[in-house]
Amino acid sequence: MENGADHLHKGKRKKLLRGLQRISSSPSLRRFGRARSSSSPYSSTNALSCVSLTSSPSPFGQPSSSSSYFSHIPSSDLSTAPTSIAPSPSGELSWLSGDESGLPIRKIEHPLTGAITVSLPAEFRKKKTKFNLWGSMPSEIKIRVLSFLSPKQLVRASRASKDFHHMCFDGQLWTCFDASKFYQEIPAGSLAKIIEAAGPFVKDLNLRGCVQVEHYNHSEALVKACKNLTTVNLEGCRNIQRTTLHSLLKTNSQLISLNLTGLPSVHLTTCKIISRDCPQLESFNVSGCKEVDARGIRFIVEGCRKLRDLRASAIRGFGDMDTAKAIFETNNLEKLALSGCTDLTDAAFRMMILGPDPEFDILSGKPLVTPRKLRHLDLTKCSRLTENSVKSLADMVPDLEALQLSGLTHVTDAALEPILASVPRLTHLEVEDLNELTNTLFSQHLVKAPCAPRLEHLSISSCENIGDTGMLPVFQHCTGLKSVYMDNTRISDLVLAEAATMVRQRSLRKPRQSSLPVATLNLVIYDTNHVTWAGVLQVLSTNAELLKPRASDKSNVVVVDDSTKQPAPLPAEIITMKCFHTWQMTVNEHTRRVLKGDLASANALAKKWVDHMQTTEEAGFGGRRRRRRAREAQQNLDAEGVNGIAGGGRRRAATTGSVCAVM
Amino acid sequence: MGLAYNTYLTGPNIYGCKNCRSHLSNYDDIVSRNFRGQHGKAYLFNNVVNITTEEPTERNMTTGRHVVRDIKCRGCGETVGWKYDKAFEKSEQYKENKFILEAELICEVE
Repeated sequence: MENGADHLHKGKRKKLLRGLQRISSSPSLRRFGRARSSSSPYSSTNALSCVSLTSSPSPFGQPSSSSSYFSHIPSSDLSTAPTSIAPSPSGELSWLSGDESGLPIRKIEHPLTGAITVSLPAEFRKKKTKFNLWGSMPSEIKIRVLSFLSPKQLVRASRASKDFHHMCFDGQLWTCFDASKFYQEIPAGSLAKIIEAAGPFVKDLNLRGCVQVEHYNHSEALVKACKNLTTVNLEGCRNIQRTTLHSLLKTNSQLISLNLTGLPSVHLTTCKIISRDCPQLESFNVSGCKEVDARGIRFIVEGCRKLRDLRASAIRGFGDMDTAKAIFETNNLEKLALSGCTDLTDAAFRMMILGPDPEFDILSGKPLVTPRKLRHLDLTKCSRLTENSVKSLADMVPDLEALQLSGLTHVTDAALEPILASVPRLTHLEVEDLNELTNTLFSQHLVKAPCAPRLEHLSISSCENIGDTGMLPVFQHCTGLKSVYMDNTRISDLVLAEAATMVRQRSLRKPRQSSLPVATLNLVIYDTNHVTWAGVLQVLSTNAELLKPRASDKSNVVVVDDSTKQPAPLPAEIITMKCFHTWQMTVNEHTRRVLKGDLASANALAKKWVDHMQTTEEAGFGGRRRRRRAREAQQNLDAEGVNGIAGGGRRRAATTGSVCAVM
Repeated sequence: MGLAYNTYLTGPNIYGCKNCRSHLSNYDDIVSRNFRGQHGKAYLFNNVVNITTEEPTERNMTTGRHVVRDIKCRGCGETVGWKYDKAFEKSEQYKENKFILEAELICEVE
């Protein structure tokens, strides 16, 4: 048997070495399983990531036939020497264990199952045919597989073969062509080729930032190919030529959404073409196109009856009464953005809202005009508007959800009061820079308005008269707030404390979404002279405070059951803040720890910060100033600070440098 | 020079050049809005994109001596503000390597 053993050694070794293959560690390979002839390494549930034996121990030693299962091992040169091998399974194993020092193979432990199967003899074995997985798939499935690739990957894959090339440029894959992700990397020629190949299948074309689209030839391809576009975004394609643009618009009559922001080639003729050839247009953005003026907008409004979303920021000539009349008559607009339209006059705006010669009810003074369908109105920095026209919005826009009046510096309380009373659906209100607004607008009118509980976003930056008297009631009543921008106002720590209480109380009322805290209120409070680190600390501590039933809370939803010794739950809702820049890093770190649920380390951080702030303050005139600021904050509640701001602010500026740097 | 591509920012509130509407910075990058420039209000930003910088000069501002360089929009070449290179007072050093954009020269874009 020794000769046989030697022979066994050599022949077996060759076959084993030939049969070596690397197996990936993913268990999915097991699914490639034809039935192995016996327990192979694959039958174990452990993932294998190493070189392994392919042959399976079998009494008839079928390494040649078992290795023929793997198509990459040529079975032709394996000698039929199985008959010389006749060990038992255990004998085979023992051979393996005995000889492993001589073979460059790592032995793997695997359980041998009891059943040893034998492969079919040659005549009954099916002929091994070439199985072309990809080729035999129906093309619909191929397209579906390719649809998961990004445009860049598709272009790369198209180089594999002619067949692939044909498939990758199949129009169905390119219905939504979004070049804004790779606009910097693709040359104009390739862009043109892809669009030409995709042709009439492209429905959604986004070429934002593609300044390379300029050459006459390349853009011609674009125009000739795309006939069925519904959404087009050409923002920033500043080199696109007027003729190209016009041809594109003429051939695509199904356009629904068009974005031509910042293109210098858009002008009156373009607007006329749009109004004539794109009747389905619903959303149109022509902001920043310097060659367009309000007459063009008039054509579009009159021609595209379905227009709902019009963004014409920074367009000249809105003092034109005909345009205003056209906007009034269409009454289909839901979003109107006219920010930066400095030509917009009071008279024109009144015409837009009330129309020519509106009648007023004799008794109540309310306009007898059909209400507008406006939901979002943006009049930022239309500096010619005064309260005479802004107050015409009252009772005319019942569906209004977002109102942006930032930068209209001459608007006073009197204009906003009636508006707030008549917009029950308002969620966003921006009144930055309106420094004539006073606290009564907020404390009396906003809190009593029907929109108060629904208000989500409020921005009063740079409203220098607003302080605690106005904002404390806001935080008490507007329980739906998600973000409040209060920089450059007179608010103080008391407002922060009130905000923290409000968030805590509203989180107790609602069912929890998850066990970790969620940031639901964002406060912007830099540049406020009366907010001290103590106020910020108060918010941070409330964020990191475990929920316990407090005597002041009305609701008894959360009860810590002592008998079961459950830990008190984490707060459900917390506040994020943008505050004075030197504290910002501490605040961010604290918030990050609370969001992870790690309240202990958050509290430790807060304590360290307190120590740090106290030592730095005591280093200067700290103690006295802190007490004085606390007193001033209290004074602000009684009387709007006459002496408070200037003195404290200036002194604080000397140490912290947070106040204006005048050039 | 080759084609100059603009960078586009994401976020709810983006400030851009008033002239050509190239994106400049985000609302989240504001450090303070309490600054004054030649044209009125100005904001201090952490990071600004799509700009070219000029040569640094030394200027005396109300808060002290600083070394600043003007910044211009890359799309249209209009000056939009300046960048602080160096502040000589210790309390002003937080402004170093941050950008000032003047409110009159920028606008809010979608």
